[in-house]
Amino acid sequence: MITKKLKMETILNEIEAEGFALSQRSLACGRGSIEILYIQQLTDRASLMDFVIRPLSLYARQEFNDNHNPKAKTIARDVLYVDDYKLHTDGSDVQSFILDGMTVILLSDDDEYIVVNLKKVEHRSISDPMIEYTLRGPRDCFVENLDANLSLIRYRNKDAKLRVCQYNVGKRTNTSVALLYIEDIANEKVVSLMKKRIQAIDVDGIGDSGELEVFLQNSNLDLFPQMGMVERSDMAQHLLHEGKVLVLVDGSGLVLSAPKCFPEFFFSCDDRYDNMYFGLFMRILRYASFFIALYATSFFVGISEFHIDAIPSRYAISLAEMRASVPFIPLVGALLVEFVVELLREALLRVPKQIGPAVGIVSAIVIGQAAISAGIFSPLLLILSSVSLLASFVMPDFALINPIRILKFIGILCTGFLGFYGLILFSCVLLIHLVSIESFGVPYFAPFAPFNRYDFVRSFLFNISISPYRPKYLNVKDKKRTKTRG
Amino acid sequence: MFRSRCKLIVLLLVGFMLTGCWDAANISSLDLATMVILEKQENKFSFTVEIVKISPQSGGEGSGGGGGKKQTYLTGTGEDFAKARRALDIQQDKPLFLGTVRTLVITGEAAANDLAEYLFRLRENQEYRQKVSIVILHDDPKVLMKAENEADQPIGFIIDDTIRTGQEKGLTCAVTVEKYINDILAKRGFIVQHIGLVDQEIRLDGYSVFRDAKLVGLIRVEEASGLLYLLAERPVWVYRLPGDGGFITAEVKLNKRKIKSTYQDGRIRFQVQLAFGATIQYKSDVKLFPLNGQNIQRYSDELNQVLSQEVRTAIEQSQNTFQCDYLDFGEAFRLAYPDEFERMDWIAEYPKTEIDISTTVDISVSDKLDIEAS
Repeated sequence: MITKKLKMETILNEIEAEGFALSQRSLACGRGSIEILYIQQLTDRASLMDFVIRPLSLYARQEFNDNHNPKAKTIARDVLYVDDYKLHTDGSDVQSFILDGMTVILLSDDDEYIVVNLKKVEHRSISDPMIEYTLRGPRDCFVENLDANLSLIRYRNKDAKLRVCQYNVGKRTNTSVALLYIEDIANEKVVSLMKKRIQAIDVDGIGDSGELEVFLQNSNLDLFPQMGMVERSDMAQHLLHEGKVLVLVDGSGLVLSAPKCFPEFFFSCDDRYDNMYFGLFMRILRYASFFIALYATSFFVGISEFHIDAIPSRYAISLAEMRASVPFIPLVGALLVEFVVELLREALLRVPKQIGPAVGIVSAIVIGQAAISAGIFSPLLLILSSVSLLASFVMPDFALINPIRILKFIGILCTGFLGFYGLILFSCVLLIHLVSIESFGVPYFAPFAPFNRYDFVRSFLFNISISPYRPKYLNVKDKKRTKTRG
Repeated sequence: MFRSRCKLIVLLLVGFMLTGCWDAANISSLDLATMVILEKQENKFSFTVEIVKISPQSGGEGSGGGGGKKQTYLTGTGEDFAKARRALDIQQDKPLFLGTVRTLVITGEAAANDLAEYLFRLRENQEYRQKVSIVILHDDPKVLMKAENEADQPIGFIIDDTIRTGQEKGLTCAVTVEKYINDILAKRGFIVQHIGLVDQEIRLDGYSVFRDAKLVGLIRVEEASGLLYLLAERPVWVYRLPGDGGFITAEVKLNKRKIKSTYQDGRIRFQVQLAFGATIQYKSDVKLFPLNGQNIQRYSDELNQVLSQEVRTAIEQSQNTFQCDYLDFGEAFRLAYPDEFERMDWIAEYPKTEIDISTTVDISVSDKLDIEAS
């Protein structure tokens, strides 16, 4: 970097020419002057007044006569009551510091200038999690402020090996991005790959971790997410200890984690806190829910359109009675019901909370009662769709819900055209895809494929006291997690 | 990438060739049959199918539908099976779906000579379920069709439920179409459950005996205890034993059945060992019948004698009266001596085989027996 000699007048003229709204406070000091530049909305003005302007004014009045010129180093060291400051000489960086929320102190007769961190961004307070709700675990979740999020993680990880690498991403937004990992645990290849991908991003701006994720994952054409989303700080701590890498984005309340394997979507942090048999029960329930959410409606289509003899005669007759007045073929009926269910889901997600219950009740009456009375849908189909919807909400990681929502329609179409053969074909293609993709070099379907008995057992039955090793598929540096046996 | 796409396309094409939406059979556009009756009268065959009337939103069988029977019957008659079936098919306004058939009823006359042909047709017909119940009926099928039941359930379901409940309770034995076919191919005898109507109620009446796929006789259900001890999974029978002017009632269950065969000097011998468990459940008078060890032993001996005689009678009936091995001794012998079995004419050998019976009875008094009851 070429260091330019600081010329206060030039800098001030340049800033004025740019025309962005900043605040400027001038102080006369001896023969020269001190200029304090900051953006009001990004600065803690009380601190600015108490710890910068007040001491500087006193200093200017009491200590200097006409023959002395103020020096940046002296002021920063002896006058200002601030802990986070830096001295710089490159005048071209002044603008970016100010835009980043820093307070810049220029001195008329010094090449150096002072950059003080008095940044204060309004953000919501730490609240209960919205997407990773817990009954037993801690409830402090991440907010949209990077510093607050880092403080939550540091509070839980008092580990000297915790590494925080900070980057600025986005030519215009200059968004702060932090990469966190524990140096003596995390897989070096994953860390370096992540660093490389973050540094390679060349984009106007990043608004949320979701936007960053698309630049980081292996393929954007894939339906399944290859990075996890973390909302709770205790979950972030566990992931760091597993050897994962976290990516925090300033302005985002969701933290990204990598690598992420398919079975991990069925983990909930509560599984670590509860009895392991309850954890096992919950995981079986979640896997069952995954299959129900994905296949329930397709099964209905397959049975009522192709394979009536697959169910007992008694049920076949009941099914026929339920479908007697329905004008649509099962395929069309199933697609319509699922479409309506998706409409409801989306509507309930977007409407204000006060209207939500009303929408729910109206839709339940309209669809549940009227549609059946009018003979538009089969009652069984409606029950299955509702169960499928409920089952999809059982997933602890909502990132998996979206692929299920799309795949469900593909499954229905395959079954509607080819029967159970189509459903099996669809399942095979899905399985082949899942076993062939990777997340940051880790097989996505691990530990099922490639199979590892230790990890496979612990993907269902987990208790930290009986799981001395970290997941083997992550290939971490420190493989042992605990030496204490429960 | 190109190769994998090609593979995917080929896979999908194969899928479309194997099946497709043109194979779809919407359940609401089918006539669901629950029972098929095969009848023969004056050298003409008749197929009668019981079809469930599908009424919308009736909430399943037996829950309304409002007046009238929930089933209809269609009959097709012809000189042979194929013509009878064709005559039936041309009456259908919707395709007939046989996957819901639970009972095949064959009248005595149709079963007498033509059962084998029909069973072979059944085996080839993929429309039927594997576990369809086959029963013989000596009554007029029209009476069966008019049989009333409170829930207005399909008759096919009632017959099947009756047989399955009997199997679960140890009152009858389980037989499958596959076993009938095997028995016919091996020229062995076999039995088929026989149903009848008593006061409009459908009940298991007995067992029709077939030799060389021809109906040769009937064993009444009251006389079938020995048969069940040799064929049923967990047979149960109740006995009333007299003594000292009163009686006791005991429930007898077969605990263990072992059939051992030996083949020496051209002589086939079987040793049938049956271990029974009996529970005294009721007695007519407390004072007259103190259930002490001596008395219990006496009842045990009496029961042993009765059971042994019943089994002996069943075996003698199969060897002498019907002269066919519907008790499956041949299967036990084939497993022990496969080569010898292949070489011999089992039908001719079976009546000559020596069968020793050994029975034991482990008797106990029911905990629920109230000895102080007046």
